Amino acid sequence: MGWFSFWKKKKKRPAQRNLSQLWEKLRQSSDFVEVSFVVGGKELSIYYFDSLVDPQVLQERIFCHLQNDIPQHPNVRLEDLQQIVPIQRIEVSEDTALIEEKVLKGFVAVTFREQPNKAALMGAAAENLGLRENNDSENEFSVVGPKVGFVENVGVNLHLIRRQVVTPNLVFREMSIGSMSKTKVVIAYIDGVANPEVIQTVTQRLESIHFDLVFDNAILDQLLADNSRTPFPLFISTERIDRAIYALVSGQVAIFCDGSPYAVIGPAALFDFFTSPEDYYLPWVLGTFFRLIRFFGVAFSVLASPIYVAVLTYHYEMIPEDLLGPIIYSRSNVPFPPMLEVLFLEITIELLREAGARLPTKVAQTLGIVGGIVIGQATVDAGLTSTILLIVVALAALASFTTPIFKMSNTIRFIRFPFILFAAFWGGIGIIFAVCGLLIHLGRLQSFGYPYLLPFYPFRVRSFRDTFIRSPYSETAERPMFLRPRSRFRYDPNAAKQKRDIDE
Amino acid sequence: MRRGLAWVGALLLLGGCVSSRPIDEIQIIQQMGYDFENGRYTGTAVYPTFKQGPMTKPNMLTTTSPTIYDLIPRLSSKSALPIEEGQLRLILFGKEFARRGVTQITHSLARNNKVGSHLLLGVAEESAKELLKITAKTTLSDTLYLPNLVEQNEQSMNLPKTNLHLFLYRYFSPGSDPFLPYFEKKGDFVKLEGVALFRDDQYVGHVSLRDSFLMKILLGETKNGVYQLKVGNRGKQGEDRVMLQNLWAKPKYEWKRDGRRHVLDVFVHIHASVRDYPSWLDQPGGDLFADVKKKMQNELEHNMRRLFHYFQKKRIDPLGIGDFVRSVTRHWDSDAFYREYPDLDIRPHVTVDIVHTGIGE
Repeated sequence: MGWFSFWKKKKKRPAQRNLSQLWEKLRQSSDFVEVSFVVGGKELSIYYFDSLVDPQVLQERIFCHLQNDIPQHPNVRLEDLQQIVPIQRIEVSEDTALIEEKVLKGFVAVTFREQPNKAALMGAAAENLGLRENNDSENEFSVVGPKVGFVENVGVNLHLIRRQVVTPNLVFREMSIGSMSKTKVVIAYIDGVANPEVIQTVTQRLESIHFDLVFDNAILDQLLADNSRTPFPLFISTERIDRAIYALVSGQVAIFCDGSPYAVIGPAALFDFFTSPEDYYLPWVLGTFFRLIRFFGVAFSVLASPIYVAVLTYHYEMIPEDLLGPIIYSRSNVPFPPMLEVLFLEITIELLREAGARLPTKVAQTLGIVGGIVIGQATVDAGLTSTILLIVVALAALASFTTPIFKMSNTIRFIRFPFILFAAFWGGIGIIFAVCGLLIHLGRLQSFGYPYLLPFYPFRVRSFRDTFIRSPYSETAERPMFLRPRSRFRYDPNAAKQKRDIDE
Repeated sequence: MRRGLAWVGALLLLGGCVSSRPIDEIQIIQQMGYDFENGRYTGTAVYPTFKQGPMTKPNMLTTTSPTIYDLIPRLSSKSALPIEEGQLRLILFGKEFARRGVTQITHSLARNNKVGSHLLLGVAEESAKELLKITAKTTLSDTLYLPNLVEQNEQSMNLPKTNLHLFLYRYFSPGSDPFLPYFEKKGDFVKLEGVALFRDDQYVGHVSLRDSFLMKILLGETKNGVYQLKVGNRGKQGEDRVMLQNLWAKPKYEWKRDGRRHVLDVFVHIHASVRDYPSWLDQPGGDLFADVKKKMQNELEHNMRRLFHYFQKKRIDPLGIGDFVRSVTRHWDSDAFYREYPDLDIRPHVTVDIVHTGIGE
């Protein structure tokens, strides 16, 4: 609605420009080109943005044919250009706003002298100019499985999806978002699988976005979010094709955005963020094991340093007698209370990570070594932190990186800090408080209107087949019911369960 | 926004109410000894100091006072850091102190939420202070020599399980009396000598480690313990003894009336293994251990009877017979039972099964 109201407002503007005013306005830019010539007694003008147009298309398809073929068709009108120029979908319009938009998107406008208020629009945009041709899914790497990732060009992304999901039910719906960027945004879903309500919600949310520039899907992600105050990502954003397709097949909706190599997938539950496509490529026993390790990693990452703070500040009774010696000894030279000690190290690690992310890859490696070994060793030697804490914090940081989705691993590292503060002020009970607060917060979150804690809250036993445990494929024929898909099974569950004892 | 600020404010303000005890700013005491000498109480605290990594050195603080409650405050006046008893692992009572009653200590421990109920208690033959001093001197890296000693003996040897929890349970239960491990000073070493017996909270006597094996079995602790048995008269020590290891034993009590008296039958079935035996027993052909088995049963029965008599004479009930009788009696009367207790006819019946022989496990 919002986008259309913007459209209407523009239409209603009293000083509706005619075409010559439009060209006048566009001429301010130096890359706007206007070519006028007479051929076969016809005066024609061609307008385009040099920077947007593919010169080869312009010369071979448009100029060449206009110059050579018009003399043979003396009475040609703008509407008949399709017969001459070999370019798909030539559009003829009187609408200045439309013409302006198209020209700004890399179309070539052709006008005839005798039809002064009309222009024929021919697509000649250089689609791939300056964009990556391929993506090795470096940020969501997996050892097994396909390495191809999405790229910035949305057309390529749709092609990648369509090539693997060979069904007419795969639907792409295109819209344009951003008052300035006019970014092409595509909603993808599988008709007959995805719940129409979800599609409806996604479409409505996208339509009601008021924004000027959409650089990346990450911005859409935030604009779409049900709750903008949460540190938790409410939608999965992935550059992996297999992940996006798996989501589509389970009944989720994917959103692609031109200029972004990420697909946004929703509705997402908390547990989706801890599954990796690799789980599905490994035998299910191993997949389950690694998934459980990941869950443990999350718990450890969030709780390790808070527990250290709480135990050392308030609950010395809880330390096992054999650990008492090492802990007290390593703490004995540290001048800070445990909270400051932990914050100091945590922030050091965050600094290292942030610096490593900002630096060129080769320098970042050096920095990692300098930071990890030199600073770590030096802080301990200088007596600023204890050795045990160094191990705890380093392990916690390591564990936070096991989360496959980058956004979630950021969140996990962030929520550690309130936990540390709670632990420092209130000890063990503070940690319990923080955990309760976190659970309450998670319980209230929604992703496209679906509870974030599914299948835990509300409790859905059947969907546990693919949360903590990656069940064998004979058990996973049923789609997760909490997404309320229109069709229940991905494949025939009975055929999947059949035992093949005897080779026939 | 305002609510968020209120939360943060509350967190900070309430955070100020908690007294924090950072681990390196307290004096953790791990063992405590109480003595009574010349009308004054002596308190001894053993605390570890950590030098050179995990190596620890036990240190001691001692103070005397005319009252018990005053001991820890007085110890504090000798310590640079506040004394915290949250890591206490063992409390040792001197025999004199134990004779006067340990309630004052245990009652305070029972209410102290810092101290775990897994805390061990013990009785020292002479002074607890001396004993702790020995352990502090002889053990360099192990501050928990005595607690480890007790645990090791409970797990694999003859000592029945004891700790603060069990002590308090037996103390407060109307049908049983508590007991604790009993230590003696042997030269420069500490030796576990058996089990110290209490009537209510007062030390009244002790039994040897050999008898504590019987206690362990009679208490229903099914595993572990060794027992040496004399099987012949062939002169040299060790030549005529059999070493019995308890693999699995279960006592069964039966309470019945015989005429005007009550009778308690105790059936004990021991599955034992013979660990060591003299070579002359090892003769081909005959049933090696038929004789040994019989002797064992007789001797165990005999010794149990002796043990029961001892308990009856002392009017103590560390085996919790009162508790058992209560469980099979409607309207059990503790006073009436213990009036009858010294004359109670307790009949042990022991069966021994030798499951295997030799060292092999």
